[in-house]
Amino acid sequence: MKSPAATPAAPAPARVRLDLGARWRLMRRYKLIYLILLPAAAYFVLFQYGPMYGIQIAFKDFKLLKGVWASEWVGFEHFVTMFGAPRFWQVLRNTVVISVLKLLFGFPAPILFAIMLNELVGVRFKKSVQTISYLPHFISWVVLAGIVYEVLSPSLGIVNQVVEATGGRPHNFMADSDWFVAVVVISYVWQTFGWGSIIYLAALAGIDPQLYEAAQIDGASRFQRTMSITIPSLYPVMVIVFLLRVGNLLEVGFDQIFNLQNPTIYDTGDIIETYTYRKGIIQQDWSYAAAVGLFNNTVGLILLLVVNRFTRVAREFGF
Amino acid sequence: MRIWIGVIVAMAVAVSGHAAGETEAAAPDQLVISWHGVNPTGNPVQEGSIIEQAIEAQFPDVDLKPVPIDWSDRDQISLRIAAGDVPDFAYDIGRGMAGTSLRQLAEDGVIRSISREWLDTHMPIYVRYVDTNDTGKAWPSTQVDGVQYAIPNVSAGNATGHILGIRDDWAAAVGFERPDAWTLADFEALIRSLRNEDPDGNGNKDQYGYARWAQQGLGSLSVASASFPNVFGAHGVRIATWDQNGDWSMISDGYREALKVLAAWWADDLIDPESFTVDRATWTAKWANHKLGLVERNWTWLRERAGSPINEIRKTMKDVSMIYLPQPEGPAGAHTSAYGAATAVGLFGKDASDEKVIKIMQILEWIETDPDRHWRSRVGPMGIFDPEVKYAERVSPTEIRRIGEFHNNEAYAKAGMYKFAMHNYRPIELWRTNIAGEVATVVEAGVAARLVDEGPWVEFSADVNKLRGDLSDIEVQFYVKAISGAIDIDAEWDAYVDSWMANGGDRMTEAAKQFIRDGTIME
Repeated sequence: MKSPAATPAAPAPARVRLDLGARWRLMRRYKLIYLILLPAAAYFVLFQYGPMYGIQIAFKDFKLLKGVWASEWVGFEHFVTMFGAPRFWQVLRNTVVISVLKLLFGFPAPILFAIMLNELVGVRFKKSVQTISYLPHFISWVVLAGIVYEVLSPSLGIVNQVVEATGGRPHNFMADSDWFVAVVVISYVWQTFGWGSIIYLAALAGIDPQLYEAAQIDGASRFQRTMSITIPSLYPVMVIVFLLRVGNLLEVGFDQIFNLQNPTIYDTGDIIETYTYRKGIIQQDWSYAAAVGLFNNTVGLILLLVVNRFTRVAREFGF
Repeated sequence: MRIWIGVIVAMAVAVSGHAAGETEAAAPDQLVISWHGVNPTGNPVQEGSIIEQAIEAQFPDVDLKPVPIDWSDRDQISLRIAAGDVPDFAYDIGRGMAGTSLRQLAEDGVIRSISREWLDTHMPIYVRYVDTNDTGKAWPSTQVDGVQYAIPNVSAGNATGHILGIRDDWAAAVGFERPDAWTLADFEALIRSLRNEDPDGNGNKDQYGYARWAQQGLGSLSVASASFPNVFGAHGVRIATWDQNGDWSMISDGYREALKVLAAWWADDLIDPESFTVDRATWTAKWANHKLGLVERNWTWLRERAGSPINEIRKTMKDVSMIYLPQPEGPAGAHTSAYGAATAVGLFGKDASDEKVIKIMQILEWIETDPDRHWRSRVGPMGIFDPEVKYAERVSPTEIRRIGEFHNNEAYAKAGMYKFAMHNYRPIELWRTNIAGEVATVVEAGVAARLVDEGPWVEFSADVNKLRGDLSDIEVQFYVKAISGAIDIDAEWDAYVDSWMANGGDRMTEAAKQFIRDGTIME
């Protein structure tokens, strides 16, 4: 059976280059549209680009009394310290490991969930499951972390009660470095799989039912229809979502890790974002924290540019 | 468009007018002093509290403005500092502003210097108290290059070190009698009994003999407070201190041996596995719910008072009493540990004028050196919470427990209790309240007097001091993994020490040795 994803996409419209005058005329013509854009633009200028002024403290010995501008330049001193500190490499490794594991398990989970939901016949049951699966998305990690701690508590948690009931010994999972990453990944998948499935469900809703009917007439089983129609139809969305996720590889999720972690598991659970937070906000080592944060953002930017390039290539191939 | 702009401007004016109206403006000749006191989590002091009014009545030229930030909320404190919004006075015991080093705060221009002469002049009784009880660190710890930057403290309460206690009904249930002297082996036998002999008789093996709390606020863990001080003390280790040679206690042989003892007890299921993740409140609740055996804490927290373990348990079991125990003897004798060196306690913000600094000193002296005033600042003025309550020497433990009905953070916040005082660094020995008397009794009984030497005063440059963050992370992880059996202590020890050294420990050790050797600070 021919995959629907193999159908060539319509060619993208050719770009028309306008001169400055024409652009200005267009802007005047659509000035109300631009006015609507203004708050968003102001937000980015004030809260995203404006604070970049402070990046320079990564190259300075920042003193509060002197301020950003008057503090002394120290060149790459903080970066040299950073790359020479074994703790930094540990934190970087943790960031990559947790991120890759989240991608590995968190990426396919909503796809599988969406496909399973799609196969359900009972509409009421389907909608109920769908709604329940969305709920964790709306709960803050502060609350979720509390739930996780309660569930895994050695004295009161249901998991350890099961362990004890089956003859095992209660284990403090939240103080065990080996278990912590698993807890992070599992809780992440649990929180996100429902909400993440929406985009796939939307894509599934767009599949032409005639494809399934034709396959059924051809004698394709349900599994064959899923493998040959459903999944290939999801390819474009999957590729885009995957690429976007790769672009944010170093953004592991501060909220989750910060609320779940404790110092006993720093060797596997401390990530760049939490390390930067502690160095900067807690220990007031502002310049060093800025250097670590800048490194993180630079790598993130490079990844994003690479992914952006891949996305364009993917589009050319019809994804 | 003009109409919309007009509406927005009008709304802005209305809102700002409303906000301004909420705060009473100070009289022109009044000193407005912003005061960051002891705000427990979630209950910052409210403006216009009873205690604030009492202070302002005594000092009519002062208008106090309490800063509504939790005293341990370092996020908020750091952000305020970063924004240049530093209170005129900040009470601190190392978890707030001085969580960084005093030197860094001074060099960054966050705090201002004060004068020893001012302290002598305006806080003479308090200074005499400090000098009387100082172990040699109070003044150096509050100075930077010889310049005074903070009001020092000495803690009478902490002088007792960490004491062990056991509830009398459980002691009787496992056939334990208080010894005058005992060993770590005896200690182990006791916690084994508590674990295995069902002291509360509920038919379940659901008690642990020994436990500690660890977390102090989200995402932080203080090794010093997480430690099992009597076990480390028995091995001659005072957690997180430099010894006379400039070596760090947490890479010492005694530390390794103590960890091995604790690991063996953990393996035998004698230590509560939640010891590394529960906070003190949870620990207390578990103890009051008959899940934990021994109590281990300094006397000021352990004694009979509202919120203490024994008082919590008395909410449901009136007849239970606490038996306090001497330190068990180990390879290094019978010692217990205590908090580290004195830290800066009273800090003055960069914008505080000389006049304000002097006035703050006068206020503190007024509160702290009079037992009645101090006590009122802690439990509320007479007639507000309990008209029958008497203060100072006349307060019996029973009455203290009754005060306890009003002893909660919400009441403190409303009344302003604690917020303007020096909290647990009160000079109680100046006036023999019954608490001071009890502390003295404990010390005289030999229960709490034997502390591991806290080592010399060691000072670091701000840059070197910043290394402690990563080192602390490494220490905590090894500490937890070692005790919980996740690693073989002997096999991993060298790697731990190497990692500690590689992450800045070598530089800190060198700096410590240099300071101890010739008193100079290594950059």
